Amino acid sequence: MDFNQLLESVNQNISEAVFRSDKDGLIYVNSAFVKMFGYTSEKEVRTLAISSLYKDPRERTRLINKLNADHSYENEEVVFLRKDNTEFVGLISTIMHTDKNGNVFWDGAIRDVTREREFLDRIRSREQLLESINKNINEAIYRSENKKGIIYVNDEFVRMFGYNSGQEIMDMDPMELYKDPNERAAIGEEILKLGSIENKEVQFRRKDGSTFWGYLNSIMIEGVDGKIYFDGAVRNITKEKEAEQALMKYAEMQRILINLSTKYIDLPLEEVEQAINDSLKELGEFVGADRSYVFDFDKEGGVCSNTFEWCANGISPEIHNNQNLPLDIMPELVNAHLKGDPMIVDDVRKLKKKDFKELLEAQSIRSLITMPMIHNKECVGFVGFDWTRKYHKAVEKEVLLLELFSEMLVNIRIRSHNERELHKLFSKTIEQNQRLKDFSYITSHNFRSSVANLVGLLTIIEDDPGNKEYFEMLKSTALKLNLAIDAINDLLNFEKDISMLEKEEINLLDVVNDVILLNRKSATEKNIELIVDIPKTLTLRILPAYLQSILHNLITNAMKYGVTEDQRKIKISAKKESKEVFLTVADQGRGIDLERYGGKMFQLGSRFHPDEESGHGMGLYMTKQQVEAINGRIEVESEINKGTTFKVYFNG
Amino acid sequence: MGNPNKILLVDDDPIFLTLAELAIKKENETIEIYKAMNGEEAISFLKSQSVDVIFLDLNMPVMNGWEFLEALPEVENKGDHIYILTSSIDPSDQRKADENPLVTSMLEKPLDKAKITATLSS
Repeated sequence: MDFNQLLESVNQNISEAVFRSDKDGLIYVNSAFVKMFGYTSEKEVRTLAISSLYKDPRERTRLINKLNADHSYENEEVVFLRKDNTEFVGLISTIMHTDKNGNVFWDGAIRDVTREREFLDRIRSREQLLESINKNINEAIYRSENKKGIIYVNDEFVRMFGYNSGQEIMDMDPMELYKDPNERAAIGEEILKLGSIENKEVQFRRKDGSTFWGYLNSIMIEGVDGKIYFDGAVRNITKEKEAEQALMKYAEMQRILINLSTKYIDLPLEEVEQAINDSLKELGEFVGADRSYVFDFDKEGGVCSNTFEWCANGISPEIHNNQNLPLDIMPELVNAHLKGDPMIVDDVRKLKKKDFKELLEAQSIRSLITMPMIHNKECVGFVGFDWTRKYHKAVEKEVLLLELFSEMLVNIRIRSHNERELHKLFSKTIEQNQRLKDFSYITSHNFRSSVANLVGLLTIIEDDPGNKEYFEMLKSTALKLNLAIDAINDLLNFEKDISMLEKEEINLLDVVNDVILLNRKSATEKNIELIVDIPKTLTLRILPAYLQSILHNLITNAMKYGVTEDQRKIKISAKKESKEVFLTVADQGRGIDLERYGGKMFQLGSRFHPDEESGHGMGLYMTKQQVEAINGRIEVESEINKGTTFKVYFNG
Repeated sequence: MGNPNKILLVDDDPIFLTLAELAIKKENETIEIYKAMNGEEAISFLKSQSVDVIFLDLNMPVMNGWEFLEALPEVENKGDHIYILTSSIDPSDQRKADENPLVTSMLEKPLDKAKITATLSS
């Protein structure tokens, strides 16, 4: 084998520049050398000064020094100059030899690494980009190896999951990163089956145990090394979740608003209380308050009272403590409401007014929102929320809800007030109607029986015109008819609208004496003794016509039915008892069997005495009606053969 | 029934009692007429003897006509025919009268010849 020929062939065919030089210069270069440095022939190269091949000739000196010291070097990076003065980077390796004559020469090779460099730079640049992306992206990026665990995480991953380093994560069981550790296995299977998953909502767990919602994207890939990897990214969607929850809350609020505004429209009044309690609960829970409530003002009384209250679990009610509170106990709140403004306290500690602050703190209130209830431009109360377990910054929607709620409450109150008034008027009308009907039956009955008698009497008088007895009967019937007409006048007076009449301060004794005076003639005739025991100073505020009529009826009744042959005393007494005036008219007559007749005592048309002076069954009925019309009451006590006592209580 | 022999008038109005007695006697002089001023008197009368016809007023003191009708079943001697004779125009009285099996019918005052003839010959 021709060794030199082989050597030459290698030298000419390899891409590395090969050379030999001695102290005078290059003595051999291969064709790759010529080509690498941009010359045309080996000869041309060999005539060059070696230093002209270096961009920086000092490099050459450095390398010679290295050879002198070490006899060789390897892969030294040097910038060379081509013939046309362009540069390239080469790696040069050289060995120093000494021949048998003691002459030194060097053999070397240069590899042009420009392209490699460029390639490396490109890789570096990509790495840098990746690094930069990893550093700056706010998604947590990871790579995990099938059946092994996480082998790479970016900085955001470490931050997002609250660890100290990526290594810490790579050393742990990745199950720990999930709120539900079993979920990891399930997700892994899913990716294995589908090849990837996209935007899967997962609850992750941080190192400190807290959890967060994230979107997980992951793809299964086969690495260049043939292994199966899962590359993935986690995006923290807590904010999105919050937004979503806010949206749901908003929808819930819409529902509550619609509910509030429609609920009360047709609500039967007897269901209003329950509805208010339900709304307080719903609103209170929605805004996360500890208490929600309604207060009503009683401006005349200068107080306000808690009328409805809802308390969250574990919060004790305050409603019993908040009855008849003087309005001036919390002027800040009351004054704001009187002006129609809400009262918002985000943090009771920051209140400037000491009294108000202490008042709220005494009830453990940390934050509150209250909203006035306005009716006819007047504040009639307020509705509100309290927070006692935390400080709460009021938000617009809470104020809005309260405002709507307060409007609804005012509306329902107006409606219920109107309905009550209507109902009162209605039952009053029915009552009056019934009374008029009863009256008309009884008066008609009285008329008709007298008229029937008149007709009958006239017929028999025709047959027997001289009979004096029949004329007496005619006379008494005519008188009876006259009395019936008087009764109609009483009725017309009685049915006058009581509200049109004026109350007066009246001395009771004066009125009693007037009534006695009117009946003195008949009292004297019947030898009746009227005893009066009423303090001279006793007065009462009352409708004079009513008082007179009541006294007249009771006294004349007693004179008619309360006397016997032996007992002719009637006692009229009165005294003040606490706030009431207590009047009695007592006789010592035959008495009435109350067990038998008590129930009919004050009924229209009831009569108890079978004698000619018998009335029309109107007196006691009217008396009772009159007493009750002025908010008094009347009672009767009676014992057979002992006497009867009527007791009347007037509001003093 | 044949011509009644005994009639009980129950009314608290003495003038009515006189007039009714005269009017009935005018139609039939042989009829025996008894009078009571209220329901209670009528009940105690009926405890001792029976009558053929009762004319009953409604509005009376002590015991009114309705109470009399309630107390009547306890008495053996009931009237064969009970006519309510009243000047009431209260429709509820008419209704109660129609519903009460003891009542033959309800008549309006005055008690004139036509009513007497009708009731005595029925």
